[in-house]
Amino acid sequence: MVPSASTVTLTIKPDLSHVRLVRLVAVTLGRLNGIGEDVLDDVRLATGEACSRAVASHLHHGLAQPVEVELRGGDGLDVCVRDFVPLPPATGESAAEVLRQDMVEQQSALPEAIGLIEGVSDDVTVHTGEMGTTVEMRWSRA
Amino acid sequence: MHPVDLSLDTRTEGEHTVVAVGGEIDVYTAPRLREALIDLVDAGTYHIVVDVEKVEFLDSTGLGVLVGGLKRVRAHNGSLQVVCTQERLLKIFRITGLTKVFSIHDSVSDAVAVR
Repeated sequence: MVPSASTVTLTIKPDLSHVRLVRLVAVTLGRLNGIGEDVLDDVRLATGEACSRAVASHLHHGLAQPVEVELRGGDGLDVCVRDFVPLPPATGESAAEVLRQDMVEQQSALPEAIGLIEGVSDDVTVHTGEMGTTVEMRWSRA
Repeated sequence: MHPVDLSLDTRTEGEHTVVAVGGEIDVYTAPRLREALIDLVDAGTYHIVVDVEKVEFLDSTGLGVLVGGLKRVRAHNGSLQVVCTQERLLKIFRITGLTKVFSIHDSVSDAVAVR
């Protein structure tokens, strides 16, 4: 049994086949931390979208460095996906717009991915900057 | 390791070609669906029904593949319809506004009845 306040950190190579693994870990940790079964689909989708975007961005920019995913249990579930591709500094909705624009330029996925993340998470915070991008998502305990 | 978890089964029903998809359509597996749709259009198939009833997971990349398929068949005055009754997938179509783009049906028989 994983302690309720457990934190799991994953570093994954920029390989699209690894995104599924992150989704599985997120759902498992969400279930262990009291996230309702109906919401676990949202956890799986948003975590996958954030991770896909980060990995695709590393691949697009030729970055071999791993993408980092931190999953924190406790009073719900927090998932933070971090990539290391420099983008113009922004926070909140401005940062989400920076990501949308970046995805349009990459043509790697639908820019709607950001809307999906926002649509299925209780709370989302996006930061972009010279050191890369973090997408933080939160789901409350059922 | 290649955890490909996507199945594609293509059959003809009248004037339509039905692509029954199973498993997970994500950033890793979606290119296989994209190739299948491109192959169909290249072979002159312009009325396609994509049945996602056995799909367990669909992400924005998968949606992008469906949108791409729709654009291709429309270039030939064709159609691409979706069969889906799973609420968790319909929710994704709704959030992205794609319920206004695709004809979404409850069954293959309903979809092939449309021309």
